[in-house]
Amino acid sequence: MIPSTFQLIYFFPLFVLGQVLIFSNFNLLYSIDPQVYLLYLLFLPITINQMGLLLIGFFMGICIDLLLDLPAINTIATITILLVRPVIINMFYKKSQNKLIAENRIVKLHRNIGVIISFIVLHQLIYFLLEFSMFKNFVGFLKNFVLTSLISFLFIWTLIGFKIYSNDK
Amino acid sequence: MGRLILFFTRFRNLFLYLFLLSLSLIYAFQSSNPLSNSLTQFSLIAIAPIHHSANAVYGYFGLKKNNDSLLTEIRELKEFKMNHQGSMKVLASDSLRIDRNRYQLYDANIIYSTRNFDINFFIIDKGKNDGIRPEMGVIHHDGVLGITKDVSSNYSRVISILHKDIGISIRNQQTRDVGIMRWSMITPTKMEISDFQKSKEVSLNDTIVTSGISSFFPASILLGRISKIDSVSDPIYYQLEVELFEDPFSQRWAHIVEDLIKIEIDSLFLSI
Repeated sequence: MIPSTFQLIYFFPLFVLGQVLIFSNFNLLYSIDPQVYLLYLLFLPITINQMGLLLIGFFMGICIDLLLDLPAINTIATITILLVRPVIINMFYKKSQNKLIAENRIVKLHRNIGVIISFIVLHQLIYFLLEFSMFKNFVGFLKNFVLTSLISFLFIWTLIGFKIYSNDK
Repeated sequence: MGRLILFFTRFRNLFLYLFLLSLSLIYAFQSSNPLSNSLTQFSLIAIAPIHHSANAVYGYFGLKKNNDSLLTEIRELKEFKMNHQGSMKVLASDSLRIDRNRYQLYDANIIYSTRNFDINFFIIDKGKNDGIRPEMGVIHHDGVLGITKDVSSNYSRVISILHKDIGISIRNQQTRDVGIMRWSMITPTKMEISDFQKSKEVSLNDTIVTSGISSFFPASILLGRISKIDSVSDPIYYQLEVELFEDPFSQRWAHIVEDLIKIEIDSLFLSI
């Protein structure tokens, strides 16, 4: 099932508040938090045009940064992965986004493990490159990047599993 | 003209991305600049009530830990009182009286703290209505936490000592030498001092306390111990690593310090 516009609007504040009030308070090893809001971006249908996608990503990122008191790092990472989303789709579906839309194929990005991993890894890479801009502590950068990517993947994969299971039921 | 329009239409996504990226960068520089005020003041008003409500729920689960920490502090104060009762009576009549009247403390709960690599803030549930102003020191029972920056009616944002731009004026309790302590950006309890000259004496496990030179913090607040001495990297100064007694991230409440003679001191500086 492809989410409707109403569902996308309805889930937007849920994902933002869930990330801010629950997932960003995990603080494993001082600063490791799962970035579960990426799941919302994976649910965005491929039929949404790139400009709309960038605006959604920007508002989601800025809301999270504002509420977490962060200097726009989520925003920059989010709009960047949404800019390259067509390239990621092309890579894993072997067809361009426009071709898939023209063929009227129902593409569920959240069911493709390659897309999920690319989204998480790219997002975390940009996020921590921005955060560690001084690059004084490379080991810290690597630790945070690997662990946050891993824990985000585990959370997102589990939540997707729950959704698929409840839909099948 | 037609070609220009075609060019902009063709790369509209990229232009929109660059536009959004520049907005993000403006926001990033505004919010990470300790001197900028307008945007951060707005975000404080917007975010503090949300985190305050969430903190009420999380605070409930941390009650046992808070009680234990309060019990420990009461025990330490009682021990201190029992051990120093005689000397306190003597000192109360002269030298201590000055300090006792100089500082006033306000209690506050920490409702949110960031955990970033180099720029950290936290928010406390006290603001203008409670007598809090920008540039007041914030301490806890075993160390310092930061300095107030933005203050709204009911909340304040505090620049944490775990911020790359914050330096705390410190003193080596054993040798009485003064210096500046900054966050090492490795772990939340590791700080560094890089302005102790090699001509001075320094030993491992020397206790580091606040110097009292700045008007943010009273003198002699315990901060940590010297855990590593590097005398090779710099020809003139030691590179010292300090292990804090308490992790600033793990604190749930704080005291805000008001220096009652700060205005008098500031006016003296202005008249120079």
